[in-house]
Amino acid sequence: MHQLARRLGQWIIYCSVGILAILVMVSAVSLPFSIRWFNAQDLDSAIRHPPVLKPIIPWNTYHAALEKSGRAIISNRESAKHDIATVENDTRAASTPSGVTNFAYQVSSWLGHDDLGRSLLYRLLPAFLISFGIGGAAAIMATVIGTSWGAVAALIGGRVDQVMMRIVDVLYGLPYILMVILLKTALTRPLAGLLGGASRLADIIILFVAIGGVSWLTMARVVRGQVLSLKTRAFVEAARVAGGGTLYIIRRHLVPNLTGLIAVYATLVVPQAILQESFLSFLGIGVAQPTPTLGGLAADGVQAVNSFVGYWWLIVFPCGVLSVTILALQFLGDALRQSYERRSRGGSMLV
Amino acid sequence: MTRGLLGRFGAGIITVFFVYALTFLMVVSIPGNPLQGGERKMSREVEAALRSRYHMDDNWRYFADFLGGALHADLGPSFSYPDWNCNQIILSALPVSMLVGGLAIIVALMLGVPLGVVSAARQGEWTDASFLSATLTCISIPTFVIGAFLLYIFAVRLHWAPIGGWGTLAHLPLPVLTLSLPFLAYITRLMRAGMIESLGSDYIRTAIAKGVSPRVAIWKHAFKPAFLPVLSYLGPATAQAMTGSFVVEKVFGVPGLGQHFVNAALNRDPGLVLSTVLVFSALLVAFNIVIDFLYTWLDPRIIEAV
Repeated sequence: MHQLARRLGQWIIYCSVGILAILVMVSAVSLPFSIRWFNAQDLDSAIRHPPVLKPIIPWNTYHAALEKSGRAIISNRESAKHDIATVENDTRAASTPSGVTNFAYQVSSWLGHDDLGRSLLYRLLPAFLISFGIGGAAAIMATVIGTSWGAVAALIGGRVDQVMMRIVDVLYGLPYILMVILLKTALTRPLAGLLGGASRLADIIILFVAIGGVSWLTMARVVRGQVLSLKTRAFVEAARVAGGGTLYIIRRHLVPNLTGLIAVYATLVVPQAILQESFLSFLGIGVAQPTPTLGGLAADGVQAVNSFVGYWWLIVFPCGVLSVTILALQFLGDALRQSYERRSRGGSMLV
Repeated sequence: MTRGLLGRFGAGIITVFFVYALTFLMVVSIPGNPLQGGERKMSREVEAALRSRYHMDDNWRYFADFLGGALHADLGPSFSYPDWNCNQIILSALPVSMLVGGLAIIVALMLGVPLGVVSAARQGEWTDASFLSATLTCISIPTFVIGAFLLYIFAVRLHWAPIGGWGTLAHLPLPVLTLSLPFLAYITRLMRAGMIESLGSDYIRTAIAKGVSPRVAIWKHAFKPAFLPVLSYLGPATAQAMTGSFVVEKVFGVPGLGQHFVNAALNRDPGLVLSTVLVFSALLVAFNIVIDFLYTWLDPRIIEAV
C-alpha cells in the first residue's frame, strides 16, 4: 500500500512534467497561427473566416444560436460592401433548421467560440504561453530581487538588516491589489510612450513587474533566514578561520547551499503568479483585452455563464487548462521541496 | 515579556505609519483627478474650492491632515461616494467582512488542523496522499471559479441557499466556505509539515517508549510545537480574511470591505484608499501582536527571544 502510494506520487510528477511540456510545445508551435486571432485589428477577419475544424463535441442549440448571431454580424459587415446576395443566402441558410446544423458544423472549431465569435482554441493557446510567461517572469524577478535583498540583509546584518526587513514588513502590509492597480495606472502610459506606442506590450510588461514586484517578499525572508543559519554553520566558520574572504565564502559555501532552496521557491512562485493574474483579470485590471490569458479567459467564462445560457465550454476549457497547469506546477514544486528537505535536514522551511 | 510586547507595539505603529506614507506617495503620484470622476463635470471654481478645503494642492498639509484626522477616528470624505464619508463606508462594510472572514478562518482551523494531523500521522499512506491532493486542488482552482461552481450547485440547482445578497443566515455558508478553502488548504499543509517534524523528535520517541498511547502522544505532546507554524500564519491570514475578499464579495454579492479596496484605487479616491489601507495594516499589526502573545504562551522559551 505504502509502495503503491509512492509510485502514484512519482507518476503524478512525471505526468505533471509531461503535461507542462506538451502544453508549452503545442502553444509555442501554434503561436504563429494563433497570434493572428487575438489581434484586435484582425478580429474582423477572425469572425469572417473562422478556422474550419471538425468539432469533437456535440454542439447544443445555444452554440448554433451563437453561430447564427455571429453570422448575422458578418452579414451586416458584408452588406456594407453591398454584397446583398451573400446576406440573402446566409439568412436563408440560417433560418432553416437543416441549414443551422450544416452551418454549425462548417464553421465550428474544436473548443467552440466566445460571444464575439472568436475561436476559443486559438485564444487558449497563446493564453497559456502568456500566463506561463507571467509566472516565469514573476519567478525570475522574485529570485533576483528576493535573493539579493535577503542575502544582503543577512550578510551585512545589524542595523541594515533591521531596516531592510522592516521594509519587507511594510510592503507586506500593503494590499498587493492596490499596489498592482497603482503601478499599472501610473506606469502603463509612460512605458507605452517609451516603447513607441506598443501599448499592449507595455501592458504585459507592467503586469510582469507588478506581480513580480509583490512576489519577491517571501523569497527575501526565506533566503535571509537560510543565510543567517548558514553563517553560523561550522564549515563557514572553518572557511573564515582558514582565511577565506567574504566573496570566497559566498561563492563556495553560500551559493551552493542556497540554490536548492531558491529553485524550490521559484517553482512555487510560478503558479501563485498565474493565480494572481487570474484574480486581477477577474477584477478587470489584468492584461487588457483582447490579449488572452488563462485567468482572463476563465474570468470571462464565469461572467458569460449564468443559469439561463449554458456556454459551458467557455468556462470548462479555460478553467481546465488553468487548473491542470497550476496543479502540475504545484506538484512539481512540492516534489522539489520534498527532495530538497530530504537531502538537507534542519533549517526550518515555510510551507 | 510586557516590555517585549510594548516593543512590538511600537514597531507595529511605525510599520503602519510607513505603510500609510508609502500609500500616500502612490496615491498622489498616480495620474488622474479624483474630483472629476463623477457623472457631471465639476466647474473649475467648485473644484478649486474643494481642493483648497481639503488642502489637496499642498501634499504635506494633506498628508498631515489625513493622519491627524485618522488619529481622531475621522477618515474624512470619500470623493467617489459623495453621500458617504469614509467612516460610514468602513463602519458599514467592515463588520460584514469581519463576520465572513472570521467564520472562514474558524472553519479553516476546525477542518485544517485535524486534516493536517491525520495526514501527518498517516504519512505516505493513501489518506495522506488524498488529503494532499485535495488541498493542492483547492489552491489550484481560482476562487471565483469555485464560488461560481458552488453557487450553481447549491443555489441554482438545489435551492439550498439564496443566489446572492446579504442579510439572512442562509446567505452566510457559501461565501464563508469559498473564502475558507485556500486558508484551509494552507493550514492543512502547515499543520502536516509541523506535525511530521514534531513526531520525528526525540521526546515523542521517549514518550512512545514509555508507553504513552499514540493518540495522547500526538494530541498532547506533539501538537503544541507542531501548531506554532500554523499560529504564525494565522496573523496575516486573519487580517487578510477579515478585510474581505473582492472576489468572494463579487461572486456572492456580499457588501464587504474588499470591494472598496479595488474600487477606491480604480476611482482614484484618495481618502478611501488611505482609509482602507490604514484599516488593513492596523488589523495586520494587531493580529500579529496577538499572535506573538499567543506564541509566548504556547512556547515560553520565546520570551527570551522577544
